[in-house]
This record gives sequence, structure tokens and C-alpha cells, in this order.
Amino acid sequence: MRILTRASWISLSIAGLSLTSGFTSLETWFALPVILIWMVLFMIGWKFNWKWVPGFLLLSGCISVGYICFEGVNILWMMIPISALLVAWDLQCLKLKFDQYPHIENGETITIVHLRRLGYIIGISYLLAIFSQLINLKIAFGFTLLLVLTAFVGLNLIFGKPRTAGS
Amino acid sequence: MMNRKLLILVIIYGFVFGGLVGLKGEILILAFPFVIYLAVGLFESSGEPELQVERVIEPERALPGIVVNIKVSIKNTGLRPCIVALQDHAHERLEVISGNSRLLAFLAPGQTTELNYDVEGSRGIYLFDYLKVTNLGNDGISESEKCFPTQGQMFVLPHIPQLKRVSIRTRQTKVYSGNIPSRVSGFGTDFYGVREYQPGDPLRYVNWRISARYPDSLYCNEFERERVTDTWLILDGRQRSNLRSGDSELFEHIVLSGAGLAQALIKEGNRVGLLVYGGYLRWTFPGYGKIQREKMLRALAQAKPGDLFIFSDFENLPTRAFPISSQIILISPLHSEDIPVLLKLKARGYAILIISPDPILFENSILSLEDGGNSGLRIANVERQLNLKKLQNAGIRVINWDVSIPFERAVQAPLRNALRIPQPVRQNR
Repeated sequence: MRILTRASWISLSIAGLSLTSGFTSLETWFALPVILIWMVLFMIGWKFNWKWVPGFLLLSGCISVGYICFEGVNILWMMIPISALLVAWDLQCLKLKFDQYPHIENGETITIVHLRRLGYIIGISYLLAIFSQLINLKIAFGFTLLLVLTAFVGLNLIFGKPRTAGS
Repeated sequence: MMNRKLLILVIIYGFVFGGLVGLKGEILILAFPFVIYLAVGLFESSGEPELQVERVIEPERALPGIVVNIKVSIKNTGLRPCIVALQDHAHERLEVISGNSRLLAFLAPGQTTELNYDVEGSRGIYLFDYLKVTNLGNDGISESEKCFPTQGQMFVLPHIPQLKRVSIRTRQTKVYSGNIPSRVSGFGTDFYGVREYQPGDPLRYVNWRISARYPDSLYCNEFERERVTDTWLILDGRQRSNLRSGDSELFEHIVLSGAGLAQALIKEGNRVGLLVYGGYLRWTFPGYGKIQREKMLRALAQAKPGDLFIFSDFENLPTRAFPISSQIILISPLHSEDIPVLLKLKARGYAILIISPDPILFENSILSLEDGGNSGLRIANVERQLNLKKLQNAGIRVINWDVSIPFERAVQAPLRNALRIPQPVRQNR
């Protein structure tokens, strides 16, 4: 449980710092107090395990990163807050899940499995990001739309129905 | 956990949409971690966990207040590790005293974990027929539930009052020796009559006083043969008879008295059957011995009041099932409409004993009205006394039981003394 809490706080701090640095690089100094108040509120929610906080943080963080990237900041630099946000969100959700059960067996193993998996995800994401930055791949707009639609239909088929099985 | 998937999908599509609308391909790269997160989750969560579930309940049969231990061992028989949330189906009427019926566990292949908890419950039968397993997957976003069948049941029997003796008297008895006077001379303890001495009669049976009065012959005492009899216990399970006072129900007192009588009658060697008359007809066919006692106690553990129009009065009591001239013990608070039916039963030759938990006193325990100060209470009392008197006048034994007094104490004295039917002294002059 201690590993989980520490990892969650570390990733949250990395996300916060990298986002702040992203905003400062845009020289939007007027936004800094708002960002700081925002972060403090999130930290309070984090501390007291408010259920809505992780999802809301991830969503607002992603919007902020999207905005920063749109303004022209390096995408590989902005992959840091995105990855840290994803890790923080995943670990906080796991922590909330742990809190639902009075007894947890092999809790540390579960945390380590999660962390290892998140490590793989971030590693592969970075590799793909670097690879896509190296090659200048251009796809036609129509083809991209087709890809998006195919992905949408495919994911809808997978996630459309809840995967429950009764006895 | 569909909302977590939805959140990830919203973010992915947000980045894709933003990239397309803003004509900035780099923004699409931001969606990579989320796409991979979903893909890894899908890859890892494919397939249900393969678990072997075994349950041990110790003891399976308990009295109220006895703590029952439930152990459920779960073994991962699959080839992949799994993260599972285990939740045992603990009935809401059972109170978990110690331990946990819920557990979150990581199970490596071949690894076993155990749910171990103690419960205590009120009268009833509790079936533990499944264990709910939620496969959290390793990703934590794709949950799937499955119920693994298990076998297990637990009986919480009613509290059994210890009655020393239940004196009943029927017109017909069975052939086996017991405690019921059979109105036939033979070996027994109660004096039956006097007859002329027959060669072979033990000398200690000679009635010397009568023999001295009639010196031409010797006279012997005869004793009443004691046999077992068929007895039917009928429990009034009609909802209208089941008054409630806070957490207490009158039906619970009816069941308790039924358990005490069943135990006492079977202990005396009688053939006893049970009928719960209410929302349904629940039979336990007559039988002897410990197995029958267990059957009856289990039936009493499951007994519950019901509300069915056809059984709203005793008119539909299945009398054909009761042997002619057998003993019927009815446990009911009684209503005015029941009186004619019971009189008819008596007229058919059944020996009837009514244990009647007093509903007026039971209800008054909530209202706390004084007998002298409330005319409604007085009228209800008078009406009930009149009804009971009618039954007693017809030769039906009625025991009015104030349920605030323990059953064994309230009925022991009236039950010990059976109605004595005067027997003629046969003189053979």
C-alpha cells in the first residue's frame, strides 16, 4: 500500500511540474496562480480519496497538454505530463479499489504488476512517439477519417456490451 | 467500470479530433499512451479466470446464538495469474461476527487463498450456492463478474424449550409401548380396574382389601397399558395470526413451542407429524426417532408465515391426512372463525390440544394499556375468554399462553396432567 501511495504521489508531482513548465514556456504567467490553485485542489482531493478527482484530473490535464502542444511546445516533452497523468490516474483508481475491500491479499504484488505494466505502456508509447517524429509520415485526410471510423466501430464492438457472465 | 473505458476513449477521440481539426499531426501522438493502455488491457483481460472453489461450513446445523465458521478456499487452476475480487454470498440475515466475506487477491497459477469468517443468524435455512468472483484483469479497467457454484447450506434451528412430559390421551393408540394411556388393561403404572385372579398373575398385583371383602375368590389390580400414539402438530402460519411487536413476531413463539413439543413427543416414542398451515402446506409426515426429530426441526427452521386466501381459516385443514382418533396439537392464537371448525374436528373424534399464544397480551406488551382503563382491551379479553370457554366445554384442552412467560414454564404444569377419563371398575362376581 505504501508503494502504491508513493508511486501515485510521485507521478502526480511529475505531471504537475511538467504541466507548469509547459505553461511557463508559453509565457502565460497570468495563468500560473490559477494553475497552482487548481493543483492544490487536486492534491486535497487526492489526499482524501475523492472518487471524481482522478478522472477529472486526467481529463483536464489532457486538455491542458493538448492546448500547450497546439501552441507549439515540443510533443516529446509534453509526453511526460501525459504519461505521468495516466500513471497517477491508474494508481489512484487502484487505490480506490483497494479501499473498497477490508482485506487484500498480495496487495504489493498487485501494485508491482500494475507499475510494471504501466512502465511497458509508457516505454512503448515513447518509442512510437520518437519513431513517428523521426519519419515524416503523411496520411491523406480521407484515409485518416476512414481509419478513425474503423477504429471507432471496432472499439464500439469490443466495449459496447458489458462483459459479465452469470452462473 | 465502464466509465473508465469511456474516459480513455473520450481522451483518444479528443486528441484525434483535435489533431484533425487543428491540422496538427503531432497531437495525434498524445493519444498513443491511451491507445496502448487500452490495447494492453484488452490483451491481458481476455479469458475468464479458472478457479476451483470449495466451501466448508462448520457446524452446518446450529442453534440461535451459536457462531458458525465458513471457509471458502479458492485455487487458481489456470495457467495465468489473475487479480480477483472475491465476495461470498452472505445472507443479509446473517451477521458476520469476525473475519471477512470479501477479499481482493492476486492469485498466481496454482496458488490458493481462503475466505474465513464467522457468522451468527436467526432461525432459518441459509443456502450458500455461489461465490461471486470479479475478475479485475491486470489492467484494472476491464472487469467481468462470474458466479462460481459452491455447495453449502446452514440450518439455524429454533430454540428448543425442554419439556419434561407431555400428557396426551387419545382414543386409539399404536402397538408400541409408550407413555400414552391406551384404555386397555395390561402392563402400565396407572390403576385401571380390578378383576378376578387368574393363575400366573403376580402375587403383588393381588388386591387384598377386595379379596378380604369377597372371600370366595382372589382379586387382582389391573393397570392401564401405555402405548405410543399418532400426533400431528399443526402450526398456525397464517399471516393474520402473526402479530408483530418491534422485532418480535408471534409466529416465532409458535415455532418455538412447536419445537419444544416435537422434541418432547418424539422423546416419549410417539409418531409425530408436522403441518405448517399458512401461505402453503408444509408437511413433515409422521415418523419416530431421532431422524424424524431432525426432519421436524429442519422444517421448523424453514417455517415462515404466509398469506394465501384459501388458507385464511381452518376450513381447508386437510383432515383426511390425520388418522381417525389421533391426537392433534394446534398452536394458534385463534380467531373467532376458527371455533366452529375446531368443534367439528372434535366431533369427528380427534383428541385436540390447543396451545394458544395470547395475542391480546402480546399486542398489549407494545401498547402497555391497563386492563381496567381500556374498554377495548377488556372487550377483546372477554371475547377471547368466551371463545376458549366454548372450546373447553366441548372437551378440547386449551392452554392459554402468555408469551412473556417462557414456554416450558407456562405449559409444563397444564401439560403434565392429562384429562382423566373415569374408567369403570369391572367386578366379576
